[in-house]
Amino acid sequence: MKYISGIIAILLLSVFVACEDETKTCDQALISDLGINFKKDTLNGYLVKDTLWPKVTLRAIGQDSLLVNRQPRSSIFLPLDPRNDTCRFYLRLDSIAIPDTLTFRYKRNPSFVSAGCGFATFFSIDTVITTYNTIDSLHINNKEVNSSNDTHISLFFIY
Amino acid sequence: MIRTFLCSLSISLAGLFTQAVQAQVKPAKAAGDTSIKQISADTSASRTLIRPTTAAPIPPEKDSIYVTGGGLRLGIDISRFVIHFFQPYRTDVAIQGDIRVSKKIYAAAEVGYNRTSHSDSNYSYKGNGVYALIGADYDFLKKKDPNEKNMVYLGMRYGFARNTYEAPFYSIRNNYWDSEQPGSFPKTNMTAHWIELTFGMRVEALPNFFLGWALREKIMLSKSSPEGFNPIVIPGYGSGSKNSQFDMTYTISYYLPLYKLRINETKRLNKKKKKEELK
Repeated sequence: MKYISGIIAILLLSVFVACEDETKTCDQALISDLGINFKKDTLNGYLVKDTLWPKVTLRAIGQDSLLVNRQPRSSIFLPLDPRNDTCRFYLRLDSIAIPDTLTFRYKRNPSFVSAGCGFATFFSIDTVITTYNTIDSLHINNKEVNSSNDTHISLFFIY
Repeated sequence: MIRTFLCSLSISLAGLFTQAVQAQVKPAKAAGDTSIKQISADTSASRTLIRPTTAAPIPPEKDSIYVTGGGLRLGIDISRFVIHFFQPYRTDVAIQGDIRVSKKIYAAAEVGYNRTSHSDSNYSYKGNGVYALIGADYDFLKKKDPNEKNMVYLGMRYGFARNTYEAPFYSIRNNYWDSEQPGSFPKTNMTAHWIELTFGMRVEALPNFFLGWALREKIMLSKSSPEGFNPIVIPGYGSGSKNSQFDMTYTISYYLPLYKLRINETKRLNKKKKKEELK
């Protein structure tokens, strides 16, 4: 009888430790999306600041639906094509700006994210090619596109 | 996650406190009963003052060597069955054992089996494996009766697991590209090594029949799972993607008195005596 309160406490505790069914919840919103942020370059690279474009339009070439439709954005997230080793995106940063095309080449690795999220395609970026209509330069920060919500590419602008 | 952890921590502390209080009550009562004897000890001290020559030459060494029971305690961890209730994809069995090596040190070992099986519309997963833990416990419960077998301990374990797992089917859906790609991961073998720090209690509820609980913090040392496919569960460790893991066990065990342990406390008593002399 002496140990009953202890036993109850232990059973309660084991309930709290054990009650997380990991297969029920996926705690990641963006799985393997490529993150891009916009940087404004003044003074020839001596002063770089985050910047916001007022009317950003983004879609993959070959797909009809728009990912971003004339929205103010300082960063964008692209889902790379899981069926091919390459894909292209149309990016228009402002209604008066000349649109740019981004081309990605990469390797695809199907990976297990977690018990709740299941599997996803992770990408390992090989090459990024861009037109330089509005974009001044491009920098790859991280080549591995996986479930960590990183900023993989920075786009630099001079205006 | 954090809320669950804090909640479990607070409850564990509450449970620990109640257990500790109960453990304290018993020896305190015994001390209360012997309080009269303590007074008699004082009177004997006064007697030694009268006859100092007869009391002084008797050394304490004679009493400092005594024989107490040693044995093997075998138990089953029932908290693993509770886990199965909350995480239906996990089936675990764990058997624990410990033997008394010296007065305060117990060699401890644990072996177990895990089977993990999960299936939903996104993927299916199958895995099974075995694990072993080996280590020692240090009992720091002060005992009134040298034959008392209850213990409050701190321990350390080395853990090793071998796990085979596979994903016979998975499907990756992408809404934007409107694609659905099926696939499978072949059978994969992995091993894991980790260290466990434990704190717990074992209480003799009925003669030779013990109830015990323990809190465990597991720290992963290395695992050989391939990149991109971590197991859901590492047997004996827990979640396959975490580098440290908190766990709790509740064990029912039976004590087999197998041998006698000779405990020599001459050194300890001599030290005590020296300290007292220095004072």
